[in-house]
Amino acid sequence: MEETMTLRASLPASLALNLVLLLALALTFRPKPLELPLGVTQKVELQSGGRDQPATEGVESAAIPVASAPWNWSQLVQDPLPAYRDGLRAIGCPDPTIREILSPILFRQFQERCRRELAPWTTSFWERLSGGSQKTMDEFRAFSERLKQEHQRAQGDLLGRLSEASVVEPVGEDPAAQFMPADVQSAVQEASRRHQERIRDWANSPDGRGTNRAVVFAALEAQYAEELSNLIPADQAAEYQRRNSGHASLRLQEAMDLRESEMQAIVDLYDRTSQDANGSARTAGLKRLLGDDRAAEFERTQDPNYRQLSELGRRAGIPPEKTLDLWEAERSAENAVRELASNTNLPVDERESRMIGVRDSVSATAEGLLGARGISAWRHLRSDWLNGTFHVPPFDPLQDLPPAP
Amino acid sequence: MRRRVLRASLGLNLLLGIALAAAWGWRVASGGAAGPKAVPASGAMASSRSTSDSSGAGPSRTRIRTTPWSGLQSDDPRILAENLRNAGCPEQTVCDLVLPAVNRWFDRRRGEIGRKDSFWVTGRARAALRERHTAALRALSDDKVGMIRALTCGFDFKEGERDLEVFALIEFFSGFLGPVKQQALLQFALEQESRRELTGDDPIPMMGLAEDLQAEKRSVDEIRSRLDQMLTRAERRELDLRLSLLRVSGLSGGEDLGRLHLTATEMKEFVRIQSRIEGSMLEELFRADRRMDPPRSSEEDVEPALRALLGDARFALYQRLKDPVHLRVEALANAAKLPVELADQTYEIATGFAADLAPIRTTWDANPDEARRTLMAWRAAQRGRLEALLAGIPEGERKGMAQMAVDEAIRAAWRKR
Repeated sequence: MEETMTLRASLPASLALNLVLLLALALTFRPKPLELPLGVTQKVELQSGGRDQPATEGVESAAIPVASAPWNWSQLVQDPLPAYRDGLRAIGCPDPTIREILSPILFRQFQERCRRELAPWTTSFWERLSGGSQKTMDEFRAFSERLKQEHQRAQGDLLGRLSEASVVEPVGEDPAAQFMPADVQSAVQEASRRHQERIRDWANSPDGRGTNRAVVFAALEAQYAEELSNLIPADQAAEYQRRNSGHASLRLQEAMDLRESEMQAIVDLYDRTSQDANGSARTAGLKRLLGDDRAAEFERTQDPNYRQLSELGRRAGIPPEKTLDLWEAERSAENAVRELASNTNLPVDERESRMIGVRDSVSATAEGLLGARGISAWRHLRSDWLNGTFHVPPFDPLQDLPPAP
Repeated sequence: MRRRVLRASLGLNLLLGIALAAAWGWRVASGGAAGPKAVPASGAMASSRSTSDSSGAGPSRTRIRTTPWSGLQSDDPRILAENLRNAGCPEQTVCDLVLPAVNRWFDRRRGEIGRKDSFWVTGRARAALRERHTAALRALSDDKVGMIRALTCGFDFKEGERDLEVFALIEFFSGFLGPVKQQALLQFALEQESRRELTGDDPIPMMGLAEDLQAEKRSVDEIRSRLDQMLTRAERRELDLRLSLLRVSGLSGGEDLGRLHLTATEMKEFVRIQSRIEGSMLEELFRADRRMDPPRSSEEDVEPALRALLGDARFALYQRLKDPVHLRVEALANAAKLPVELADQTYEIATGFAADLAPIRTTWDANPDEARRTLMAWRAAQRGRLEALLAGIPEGERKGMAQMAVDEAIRAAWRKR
């Protein structure tokens, strides 16, 4: 009996629980409407792009009215502009975006005014300028300067209290840092930036012109090296420094293939050796690294004329040995012209005639090496050189005179 | 029977309970149900959340309340434009917001094209990399122009470029076209500028090969075609002349052609003749690839036409106005508030040097040492004479000015030999 009573009570309870659970499940999956939070006065947090910022000073709590329909832009008061600005803030528009909306509107208003005021000028353009262009341009500059200042004042009044933060703050890419793991790149770039700033500040200070520059500079470099060592391993720091060397630009040539290790070693060599009178230390170092022939080839790649010929050869399908022959022919022609120019034993006319002969000879050499496809390109590339080199320079009577007292 | 039903009901209780617990757990993890028209969350907003705490304590866990703006914002300019238009945003404001978004969008894509792990590449590999990079940038530039057109927005100045002084100059020179044509021209100029911004880093070297010349010709022909669509021939000529005036008269440098007393017609003809030296300024302004110099006349080529226009007296004055010595002295005299005739007097003295130098020149070859001594003495005397004339100008400038005038005159006299 008792068991039957329990059973009789348990079944309705279980069935009722099933109903409750089903209802709860249904409520869990009910979609929420996208409309605004309704009927509540709330303080809207301003969002300013890349940084957390407190609500901009002066912003009042904005009442968002109860709305039964999706929000529409027409609900904003768009004139005058200060009301538009405040309405945009009230809907949560970030400051940089408010600036992007209102700044062009204000600018267009001033553009219209500029058009109206300049209309008499545009129709009498030549008359005004022929009457005295300087006077006209002075008046014009005064007008445009005045208008610009008015615009800047109006912009300051309208937008001056808005945050200056940009919508997205792009981090500039540093090619020298790209070999590092992504998570340390920006820290290393920041350390580099701070280091440059310290050097700049010191150089512009009275101390920067003092006599202990080498000591101070070494201390700044040591500080920077320590900062880097806290961020990245020593080998990465060395590679980063190498990439930021002034000699890293030696790699920017397309005339000669070098392995990465060779190029790095060349930069290190140039950093270690100064450019002495005949470049002997560097040349010796290059020969040890690359061998005699390749060292000579590398030194050629530093000549912009050689690079240009090499590029022409690559694009025109001319073998590298021919572009090398042409480059050497150009150098020989320049040497011949220099000798003729300084040979005052010969009359000017004779020297110029021989120079033209040298020019014709190198042109013929170029045509033989480059063929029809390349020769017109060569003449285009070398037009200034062909027109300006093969002349006896005008005599300068002041050349050997002592300087003025 | 009842027992069986109870067992079944209890089993259903268990199943429904598990299902409900799972549903609650999923809902908490996903942050709430999404609405029927969900718009992608702003990347900028997301990144702002992720970088929001500058103290390094980590991103805030506070849920941001839904506002009208949060429902509109998107990093994708296309979605942003659609959201704004759906919300009834004025069309001009849509474009004002979408264009900076387009710029940011393509700046990011440009960065992705960057040549990673290629720092030490040299030789042929570097050339190939450069060409691939250039092709990618050109394609990106086309994509950007295409996106802006698809969004039915035109090009516009960027925030930092809105300068009323620049606009006033544009209006002064091109206002005669009327606002519609002026706007079309400005759109074209900004489009070309936008292309240059993306492709400027790696221009293909102009080697003068046949394909380079053809590409250059296509570029120039396209510009001319676009200009022909926008402007009549007369409008093009007028605008070209006005723009050339900037270069020809050196207005930015303050050279005053007013002293030539040209009529309006003469002024136009003057500029037209001079612009033969530099080529079409209008075309040059619009060229995305400024690789080849336009064909030019030389100063000597145009002198006969200028002389015919100005007459001998005004032509001589024009020559004087162009003389660097004259220009410099005039500028110094203006700065020191001295009479402008000072520049003319200096010029007259300097041009008289040629006659003084003639005897020295004739003896140079026969007796160079003697001629050189005579030249030195003469030079010192002329310097002193000019320094006395320029007495009102500060000493350093005065001495330098006098030295420059005398030495230039000596060299010019020898060149005429």
